[in-house]
Amino acid sequence: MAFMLQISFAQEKSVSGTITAASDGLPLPGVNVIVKGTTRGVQSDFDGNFTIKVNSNETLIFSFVGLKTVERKVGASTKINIQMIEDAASLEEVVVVAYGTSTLSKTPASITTFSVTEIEDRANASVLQNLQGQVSGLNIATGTGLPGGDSTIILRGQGSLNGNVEPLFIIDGIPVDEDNFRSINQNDIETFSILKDAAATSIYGNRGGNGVIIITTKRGRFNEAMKFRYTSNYGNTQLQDANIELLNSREMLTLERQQGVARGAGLTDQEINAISNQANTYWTDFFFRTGTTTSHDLAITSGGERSSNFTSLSYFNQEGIFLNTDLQRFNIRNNFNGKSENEKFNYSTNLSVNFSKNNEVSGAGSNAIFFAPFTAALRGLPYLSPYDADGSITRDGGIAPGDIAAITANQNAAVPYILLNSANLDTDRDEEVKILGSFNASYNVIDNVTVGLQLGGDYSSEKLLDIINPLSILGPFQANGTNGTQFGGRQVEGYRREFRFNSVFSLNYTNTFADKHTIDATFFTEYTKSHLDGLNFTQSGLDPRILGTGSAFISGVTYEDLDGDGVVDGAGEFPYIPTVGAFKISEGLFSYFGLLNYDYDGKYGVSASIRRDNSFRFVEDNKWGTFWSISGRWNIDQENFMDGSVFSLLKLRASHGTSGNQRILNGEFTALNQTRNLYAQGTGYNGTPATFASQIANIDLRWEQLTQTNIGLDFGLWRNRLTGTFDVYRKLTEDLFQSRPISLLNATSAISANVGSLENKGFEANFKYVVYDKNDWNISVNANASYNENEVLEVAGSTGRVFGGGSTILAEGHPANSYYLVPYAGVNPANGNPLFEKADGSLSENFSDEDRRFTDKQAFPVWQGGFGTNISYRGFELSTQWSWVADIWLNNLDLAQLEDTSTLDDGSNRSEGVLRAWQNVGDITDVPRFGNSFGAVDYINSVDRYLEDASYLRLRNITLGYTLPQKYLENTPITGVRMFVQGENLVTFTSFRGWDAENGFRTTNRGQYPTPKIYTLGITFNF
Amino acid sequence: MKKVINKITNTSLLLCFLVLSSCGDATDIIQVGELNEEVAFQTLADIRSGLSGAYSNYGPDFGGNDSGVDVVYFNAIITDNTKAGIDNNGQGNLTYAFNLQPGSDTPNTIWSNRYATINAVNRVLRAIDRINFEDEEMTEVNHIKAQLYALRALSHLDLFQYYTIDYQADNDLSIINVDFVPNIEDSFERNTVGETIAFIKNDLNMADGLFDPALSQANGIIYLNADAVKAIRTRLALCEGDYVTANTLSSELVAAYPLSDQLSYFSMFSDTADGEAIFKLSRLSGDAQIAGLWYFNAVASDGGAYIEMSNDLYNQFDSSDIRFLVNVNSASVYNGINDPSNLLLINKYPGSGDGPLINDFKVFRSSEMLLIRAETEARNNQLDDAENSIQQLRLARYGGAPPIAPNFTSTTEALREILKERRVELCYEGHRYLDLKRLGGELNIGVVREEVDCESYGAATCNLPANDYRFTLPIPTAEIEGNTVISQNPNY
Repeated sequence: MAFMLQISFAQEKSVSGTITAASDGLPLPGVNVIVKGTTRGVQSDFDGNFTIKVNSNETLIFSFVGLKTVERKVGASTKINIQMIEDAASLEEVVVVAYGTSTLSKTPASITTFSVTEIEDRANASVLQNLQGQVSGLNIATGTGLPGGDSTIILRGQGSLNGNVEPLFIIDGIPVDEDNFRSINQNDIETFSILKDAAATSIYGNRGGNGVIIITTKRGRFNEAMKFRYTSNYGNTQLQDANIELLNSREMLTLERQQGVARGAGLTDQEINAISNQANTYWTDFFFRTGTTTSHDLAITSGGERSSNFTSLSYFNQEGIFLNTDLQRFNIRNNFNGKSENEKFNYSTNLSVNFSKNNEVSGAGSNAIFFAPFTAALRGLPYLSPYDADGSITRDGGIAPGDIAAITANQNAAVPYILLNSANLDTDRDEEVKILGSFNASYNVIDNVTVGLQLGGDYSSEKLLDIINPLSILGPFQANGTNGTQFGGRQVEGYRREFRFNSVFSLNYTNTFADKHTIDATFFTEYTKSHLDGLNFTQSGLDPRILGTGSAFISGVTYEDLDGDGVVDGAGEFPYIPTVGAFKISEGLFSYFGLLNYDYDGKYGVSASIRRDNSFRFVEDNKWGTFWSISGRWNIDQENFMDGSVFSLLKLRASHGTSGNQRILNGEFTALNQTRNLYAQGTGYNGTPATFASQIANIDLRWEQLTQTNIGLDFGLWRNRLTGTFDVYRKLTEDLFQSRPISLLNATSAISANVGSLENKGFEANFKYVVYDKNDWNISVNANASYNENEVLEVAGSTGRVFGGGSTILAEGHPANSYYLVPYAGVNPANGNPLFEKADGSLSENFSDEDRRFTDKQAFPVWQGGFGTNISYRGFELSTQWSWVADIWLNNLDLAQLEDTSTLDDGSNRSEGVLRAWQNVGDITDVPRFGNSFGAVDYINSVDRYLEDASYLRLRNITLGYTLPQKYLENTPITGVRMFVQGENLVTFTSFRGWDAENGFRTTNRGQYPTPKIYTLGITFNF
Repeated sequence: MKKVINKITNTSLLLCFLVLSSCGDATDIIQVGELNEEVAFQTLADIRSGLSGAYSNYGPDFGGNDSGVDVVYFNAIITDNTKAGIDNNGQGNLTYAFNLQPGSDTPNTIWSNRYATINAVNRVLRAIDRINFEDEEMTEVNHIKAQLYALRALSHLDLFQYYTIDYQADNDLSIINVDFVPNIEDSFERNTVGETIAFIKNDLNMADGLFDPALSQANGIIYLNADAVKAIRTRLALCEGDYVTANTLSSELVAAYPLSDQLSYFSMFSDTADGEAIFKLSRLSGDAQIAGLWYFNAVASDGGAYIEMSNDLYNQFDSSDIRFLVNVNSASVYNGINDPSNLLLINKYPGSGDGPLINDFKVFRSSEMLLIRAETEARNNQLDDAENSIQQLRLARYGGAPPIAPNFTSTTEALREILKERRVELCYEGHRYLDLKRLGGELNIGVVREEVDCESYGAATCNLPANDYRFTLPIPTAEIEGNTVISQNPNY
């Protein structure tokens, strides 16, 4: 034996050769050459040449994406030349479908799958933000520029009123929290698959009603040499321009003098000059900054004969454009695949451990002016100096902590100082550990029968820390709301753990009869359970010397004689008693379902699915929901009469089916027991314990049901030089979760109930066209567009409408929550008062609710889409990705406040619009006189004056890359180098006036964190 | 073949295992911490806590920053007792302009709050019926039941006063009488005035039979007792025009609860003494902040006063009247009569040890009873007695002889003077709007404001004529939407 080994060892030799493509005879670089059964391997060079040390009894495996893998015994030869041919099967686009994969020609469903290479290395902290504008029908609205902030995702319109509207997200088979993607490393992702119609989503039953987004992470391949990919990015984040011109010091003071109010009252020209020369502050500059963004990614892939592996490490750090906001993230991932000798048993594991630390800022959208940083940045008075006497940027504007007189002086003009102070001194931090793990195994029991098991877990633990510094201007008020306590400051801390477990068992039978009839049938059972628990506390009263932990907490038994009467008067004189809380929630679901696919000769296909779900949210007969779908396809291109046509793919498909929604309110861990009457205990009258009713049951609650019909066409022309899809759909939601009014005698005004219906209908189109592909040039363009019309068919109550005041209404025959406002008719030239159009068409200086009109304008876009170009020449590539939305409306409260002429004396700046305010009889203008009786909020709540078109066209991403030619790398271990520069959100065209027209589908825009522009420079090494 | 069968069996077993182990625990989930009715009420202590919950619902003093505002705020804003404060940015402007709609805040708040209180009461009463108590527990159980009936009567009386057009039109619509826990599917029409009055009296009668004097004594005036029931009866009798009963009961209460002297009056409102209060709602740290109805932060010139006292009311006070000191904060700035720059800080609720904006709310005081007695005397043409009653009140408030002694020459004149005295004595205690509805309607006196007060809001409409439809609140939209058979009041 030893002898033999020696001999075989001695037989090791060097084998070389050239690999060419069979189609055109050109050399193939980058082909993997691996010794079978080992991890030894090389890649072919730029000229298709390779050299490898092997034994003569070994076998070489040559593999390359899109080409058929070739195996060749080494034997006695030292030169092996290989011609590789195209692999038709692998060229076909693979689509990820529910519980498996299919190919574009075989699926009857409306599914968009795209590879992450299209968005790889982009600099958004949340991977979902990169999807906007990429997929027709998919709307990702990011309403915050906070790094890692949550986006609202809507697929094919708003499908529910009170219930969940966001799609189900699945990562490697694990259903995950749709609101938390900040901890996910986007460079780990291989593909996104967006499942839209009933054929695709019905199999997810209860949770697929709003569509499903399946995310698959990268994996190693079998028989692949070890490869490393390292990418680093560095760049800046910047504030987008607000297209509102604010008044400068001189303009504002002059206006104040004219109105005889505030600082400008009674000033001389010289005085105004002097102040304006001293201070002309654009407060935005002091709240926002240029942030940096940095990332490092290392991915290692390797594959042997029976196992393959993908491992990645990553670090990401992005500073927000607002002071002291940032996101830091560490990720490690390992994806492992293995198979048995006879290839009957396959298994894989995915494990990722992620840690993120997010410094946030609260108060976006707040109407509490001392806690609304973005409003302060926009509306701070320009003549207030941002500097201290020594020339440094002020941190307090000279205001002592707790000085009420200084804080409230001049109608709270000091707001920017207070918010700057809070931004600098307070802490608002989330730290999160997120672990995603899954295990998949399948065993081919006998011919044609496979059993499968999938187990997945999504664990996250979050720590929230919020400290109001006792030494901040607002610090002293935190103990009991006054500055009279000895200690101020507040620390709120919360811990929460969330765990979702999911297991799917499947039994599959697949067989082909008479060469043409293929049947694929699967039966599944699924078990899902989620747990959330946590605790939190609020401590008021911190010792400023030792902030950060419990060491600073002033004891709850500390007595303060607040009214100075020398007597203990009760709880009010114990201001430091902490409050604590704890919670624990479980939820679950059990389902079984079946899937049947039939294919005839690749020409016709029919699929059917049925699923039964049992939700813990409902009782008795309402517990089970049954959902089904049926769909078919006709691969026209496979017909004989299509021989020789330009179509490489032409497929017509249709589907009809149902899916459901069990989330009565839009949140996973909410509305857990609304079928039961519940009581609660708490502090009641005179500080004694109390028991009171906390919930009135509605035992009739049941599944909200969506029925969707879809007809689509997939096509590819001229060997797929032009590819595209077209879909039309109608989606009907019935038994809508709505708040149904009940008599106030029940001690509440409404309960959750299944009432009414809602419809979304529309169409979608995607195109991709290779314009030019010769002489080293490749130019391609892509575009997608979608149209969605939303209509409420039936609402709760007898009036056909639900209107609770404010700017929007839910009314039958109109889009959900569409704006319902009185038309603004300009300014009365006679007296400068605003005019409104009454219901009868006359103009009036007053209005009532009867004068409101249906505008049918919504905060969701009717039209949306995107387009992009990719141009490459030799090593250079330039790609752009644009996204747009149209027929979307936003009530602009920021602007309304900047143009408020009901008063000038409210401690805040104005925009140039107010210079047009009516002054003299006969003035024709659109801005009412100063001192009129309608303020900003009156317009926002009742009048369409600030309802603005929030359509936009945005250059979402532009990337210029250069890949170094192989010849420069020949004598290095490096196999590839790519450098790139890119920008996010660089250009936006919109008529909306504000920092950001994109507003997360909010109906009113006030003081939000705007999304930044991001510029990055990156480099990738492969070795 | 056998091997194949074995494999299939094994597979099926695995499947069954997965099905059986999974189904129940994923779908039959009761959350930890769910409390159902059977468990909620089992013992006397539970019933005690149910009573506490019912009391804590009742909130004439509730609301803040112009939202969720109940009768204390509403009576002040819609009448002539307030103006916009220095830090006002719109709070109260709609109510001040008499913009009263079914969708407005206050009609909804009062209706919701009283029916929520009634709902809580009825749930506890239902539980009491279900539980078997020990004999020795029955005294306290009965005392609790008595309070529940009294609270239900008081809540119905409040609703009666605000949503009924004419208190004495027996066959007109009043409110819904509720002595049950309703079902979510049910709708209800309003009962008639006669039915409602009878219903309230029935509750009061049941309460009277169940109070335990010893427990009342121990509980103090922050809990309803036989005297509080007497006060409820007095108010009701006045509304229904039963002046004999009103006279008798008010006389008894005035005798039992002597008027406070100046010092005691001041202490009563700063919650350091009970004074002449008959029943008050205890408010501790964390409870409703009554001074938050006027101030954002504190009762002080820099405390964020968004509602101030009207010049019109300020002008009614004499500086030697203790009511001036009690109602007008010493940090107020008075620049001259009806001067627009006057800073008139409301001080009736000056804050307490429980918090800078927190005070107990005095529901019934002896002086109200004395004024009711005066009214019944005037109506019975006992003008001298009426004069004496008014004089008795003024003597207590001035701490000596008042500047002007009352001298009535007619019942009408007496009633006018009583209306004025009620305004000064009971301001910010939830009376002014009801007084103008009841007495004002009779005397043809509506809301008439000083121009300077009106301008503080820039209100287009300053006055509300006597007997305007807005002296009765609309049935709130929220009720109409959930209750298909209820009738709305006219003109809404």
